[in-house]
Amino acid sequence: MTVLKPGRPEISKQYSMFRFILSTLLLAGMLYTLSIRIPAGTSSIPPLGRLLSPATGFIHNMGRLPSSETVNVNLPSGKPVQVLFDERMVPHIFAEDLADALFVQGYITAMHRLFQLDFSTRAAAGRLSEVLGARTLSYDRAKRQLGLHRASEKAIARWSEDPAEFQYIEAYSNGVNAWINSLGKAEYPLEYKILDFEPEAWSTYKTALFMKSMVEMLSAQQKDVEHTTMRELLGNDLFTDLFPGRNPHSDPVISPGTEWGFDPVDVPADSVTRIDIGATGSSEEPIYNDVQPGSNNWALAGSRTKSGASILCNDPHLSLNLPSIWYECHIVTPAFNCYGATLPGMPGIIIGFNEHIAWGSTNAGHDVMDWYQIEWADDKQTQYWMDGQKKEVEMTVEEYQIRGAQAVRDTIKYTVWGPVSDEGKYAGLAMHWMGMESPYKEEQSTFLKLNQARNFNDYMEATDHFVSPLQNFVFASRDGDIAIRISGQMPLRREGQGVFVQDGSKSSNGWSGRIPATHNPVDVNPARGFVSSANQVSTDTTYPYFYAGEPYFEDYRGRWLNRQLSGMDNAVVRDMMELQMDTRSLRAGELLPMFIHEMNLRSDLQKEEKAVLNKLAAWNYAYESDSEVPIFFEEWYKQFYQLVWDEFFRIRDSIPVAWPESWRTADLALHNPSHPFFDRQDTDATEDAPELIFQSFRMMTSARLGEEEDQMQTWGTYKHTQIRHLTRLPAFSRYVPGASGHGSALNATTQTHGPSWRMIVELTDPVQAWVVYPGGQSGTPGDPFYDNMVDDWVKGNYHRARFVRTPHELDSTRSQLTFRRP
Amino acid sequence: MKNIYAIIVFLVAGFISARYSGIWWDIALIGFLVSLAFRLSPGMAFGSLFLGGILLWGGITWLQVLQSESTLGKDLAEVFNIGSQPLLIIIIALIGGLLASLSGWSAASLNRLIRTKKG
Repeated sequence: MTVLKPGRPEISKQYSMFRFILSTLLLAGMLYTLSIRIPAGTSSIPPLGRLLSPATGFIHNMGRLPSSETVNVNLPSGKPVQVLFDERMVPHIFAEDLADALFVQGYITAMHRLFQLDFSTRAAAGRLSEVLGARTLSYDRAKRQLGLHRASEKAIARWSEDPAEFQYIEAYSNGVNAWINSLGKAEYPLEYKILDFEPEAWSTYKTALFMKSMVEMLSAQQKDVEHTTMRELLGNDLFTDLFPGRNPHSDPVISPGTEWGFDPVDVPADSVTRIDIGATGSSEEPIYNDVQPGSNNWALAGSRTKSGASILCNDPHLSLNLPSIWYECHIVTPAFNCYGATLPGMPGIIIGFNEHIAWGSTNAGHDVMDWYQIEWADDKQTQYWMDGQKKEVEMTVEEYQIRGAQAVRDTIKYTVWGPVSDEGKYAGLAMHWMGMESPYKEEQSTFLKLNQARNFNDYMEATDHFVSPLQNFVFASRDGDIAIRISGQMPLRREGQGVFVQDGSKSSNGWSGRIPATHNPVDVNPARGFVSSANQVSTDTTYPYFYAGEPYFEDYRGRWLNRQLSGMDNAVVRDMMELQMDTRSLRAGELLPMFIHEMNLRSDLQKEEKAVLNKLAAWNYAYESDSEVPIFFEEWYKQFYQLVWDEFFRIRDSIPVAWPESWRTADLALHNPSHPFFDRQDTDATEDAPELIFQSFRMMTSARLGEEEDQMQTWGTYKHTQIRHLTRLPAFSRYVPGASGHGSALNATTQTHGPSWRMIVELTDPVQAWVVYPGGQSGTPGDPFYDNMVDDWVKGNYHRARFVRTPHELDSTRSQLTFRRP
Repeated sequence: MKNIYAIIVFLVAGFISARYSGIWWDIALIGFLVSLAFRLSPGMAFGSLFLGGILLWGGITWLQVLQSESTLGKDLAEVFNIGSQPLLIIIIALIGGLLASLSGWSAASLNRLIRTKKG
C-alpha cells in the first residue's frame, strides 16, 4: 500500500493541470494546422483536414452514380424527365418539354462539371483573386478592363426583353442551382477542397459571362498597335509589302465566283487618316513558334459520297483542357431529337445534329476589335476631344476583393469608343470591340433554333441574329442541302479601316454601322459539291465590303482541305476520319521543296548533313508523333526565320513588332531572294535568301546532331502536347506524346490546342454520327470517365453516337435518373 | 476490456459520423466524448484512441479506395509528392490516429483534473 506523503495531492493537481493543458494545446495546434492553407512557394498546401478526412475529404469524390435513382427537383413544367447515361457516361435526356430538358441539362452538367462552370465564369468576371489571392490580380484587372462583366449585363438586359426565350436560360440556370443546393460540403468537387473555397450560385448572368468569355477567346486577337509600329518603322510601302493582309494563294471559304445577290450599302469613301503612336513595350512570340488556334468544318454533298447522303464534319481546335471545354449530350423532346457537344454554361447543343440536319462551326477570324488614340482635353484625363468638342470620360470604379489581403480599387475610364487601357503597349488607347456591343434579343435563341431546325430555311433563320464571335456555320440536311454561312455582326468599314490604331478624336473614324445580316457571305449547294472552312479568308476579292483578319487568316489548312475534298468521290465515313486525322502540312509542303532545291545546289555538305537532307527530302510532310524529321524541318525554318527577320528580333524587347507570316517569308525568298531583309545585320558580308537557307540548315544540323543518342526526341516529345487540368496540377493533367499533328495540318494538335471535339455526321435515315474528344464526361480527377477518351482521341478512334429516339433503344446504360417534382 | 468497448463505440460512432456529419474534425470530437464517457485513463485513452483513429481513418479510406474505380488516391499521392497510394493511406491513418489520441488524452486529462480537484 502506498502512503501518500503530505503535499503529493498538490503536485498531482499541478501535474494533472499540466497534462490537460499540454494535451489540449497539442490537439488545438493539430486541428489548427490541419484547417489552414500553408503557403509553399508560389502556391500553398490546402487545408489537409478537410481534404483527407473521411467525413469531408477526397473519398467523397470517388463515388459513382447509382444505377437508378429518383431526383426530386422543381421542374419548370412538372412533367417527369428521364435521363439515361450510356457506357461513356453521355446523358440522354428524355423530356416532354424543352424547359424541363434544359433544366435537367443544367443539373447534369453541374453534376459532372461544377468546378469548371464556377471557375470559368469567376475568371471571365475578373474575380479570381477573391478565391486565389493576389497572384491573379493582374489577370482580373485585364478581364475587367476588357469589360466582359459589363457586356454580360448588357446581354442579359437585351435577352430578358424576350421572356418566352429567356425562360430557357433561366431553366438551365435553375437546374445548375438545383444541383448546387443538393450538395453537402463533403460532396463539393475536389478542387474546392484543394483551393479551399465554396461554389457560388449560378445565374443567367453567368451564362452570359461564359458566352462572352468564348467571344473573347475567338475574337479579341488583333495587331493594331504592332501594325502601327511597323508602319512607323518601315513606311507605308514596305509595310504593305511585308503585311499585305490577303494571301494571294488563299482559297476562300465561299466558293470563288459566288454571286452575292445584293446591292451593297454605301460606305464613306474618304480614306483612313494615318496617325503614329510611338508605342513601346515588348513583342509577342513570332508566329513560327506555333500557328494560331483554329478549326475545320466541311460538308460533302450526296453527289460526292458513297451512300448518296451528305456528310458533315467539324473539329474545333480549342484549348486542350481537363475537364474538356465540351460536354457531350443528347436531348429528346416531342419537338426534336438532338445530339452533340454542349458548352458547360450554355443551354442547348452547340455543335451537333438532329434527325433532319447537322451543323458545326469554325471561327471566321475577322478583326472586330479596334483601338483609338485619345486626345485628352485636360491633364487629369477626365475629358477628351471629339469632333472639336470636349466630352466627359465615364469613370467606373472596380473593386477587387483579394483573399488574404485588402481589397483594391481601380478606376476604368470609358469613352464613346470603349474602355481606355492602362496596360503596356495599349496604354492610353481606347478599345472598340464587337464583343461589347449590345446583342439582338434573338441572339440567345441561335443554338436552340439550330437544335430544332429541319431544313435550310430554319438554319438561315437561326443564324440570322447571331452577333459574336463571327462563325463559319456549316450545314447539311437529310433533304440534300449543304451550305456554309459567315454568321455574326460584321462592322461596316472603310477600306483599310481597323488595321492600324486610329485617331479617336473624330467620330467619323468609327464603324459606319454593321453589314446587314442578309449580306453576310453564304455558299449554298455549290457546284463543287462541298463547302468547307478552316479559318481562312472568307471570300474572294469580289465581296463588296472591306474586312481584315484578326490579325491574319489561316493560310494552309483551308487550301489543303479543299484540295483533298475536290479529289473525293464515293466518300465514306472512314475517309472523313482519315481527313480529320491528316497530319500532312501544306506549309511544310511549300517551304521545304524550296529549301531543298537551294541545298541541292551546294557542294560543300558534310556526310551527316547529307543524311539529314535526304531524310527531309523523303519526308511526306506528315507530322507524325514517332518521327524525328518534322523536328529537323521546324528547327530549320525557325533558324531561317530568325536570320531573315533579325532586324525585328533585335528590337523585339523594346518595340511591339508584328511578325511577317510564313507564306510571305517564303514568297519573298522565292521571288525576291536579294531583298535587303535577307542581309544579316551581324555580319559584314551581304547574304541573300539561298545563303540564309544554307546557314540556317547548318545551324539546325549542328544543334540536332549534337544531341546524345538517348536524348533524341520524336515529334511527339518535341511538340509536347498536354491536356491540362484547370488548376494546372500535373497529376490531374495528361501529357500525350503520342499525339501527332501540327497547327498547319488538318489534325491541328499543338502543345496546348487541338481538335477539341471531332464529329462526323452522315445524314442517312436514320442519321448516324461518330464522335470523340480529348477528355471525358466527368470533371472529377481520377474518375473512370475523367479522361477515358484521351487515348482514343490520340489514336484517331471514334465512338458511334447512340442517337436513339426512345430510352428503350439504349442497349447499355451506366445509370438512370428520373427527375420529378416532389 | 473497457478500452476495447471504447474503441468499438468510437469506431461505430466515427463511421456513422464520417458518412453524415460533414465535419472534418468529427474524429476529435468523438474521441473526446468516448474518452470521457468511458472514463479512460490518460495513457489508455491515448493508446486506445490512437489505434481507433488509425483504424477509422485508414480503414474507411482504404475501403473506399479498394472498391472505387477512381484513381484519385493515386493522383493525390502524386500531387503531394508522396509516391504511392498506400503511403498516402498510411499518412491519413496516422493523422486520424493522432487526432483521436490527442483528443482522448485531453479528455482523460480533464477528467483526472476534475477528479483531482474534487479529491
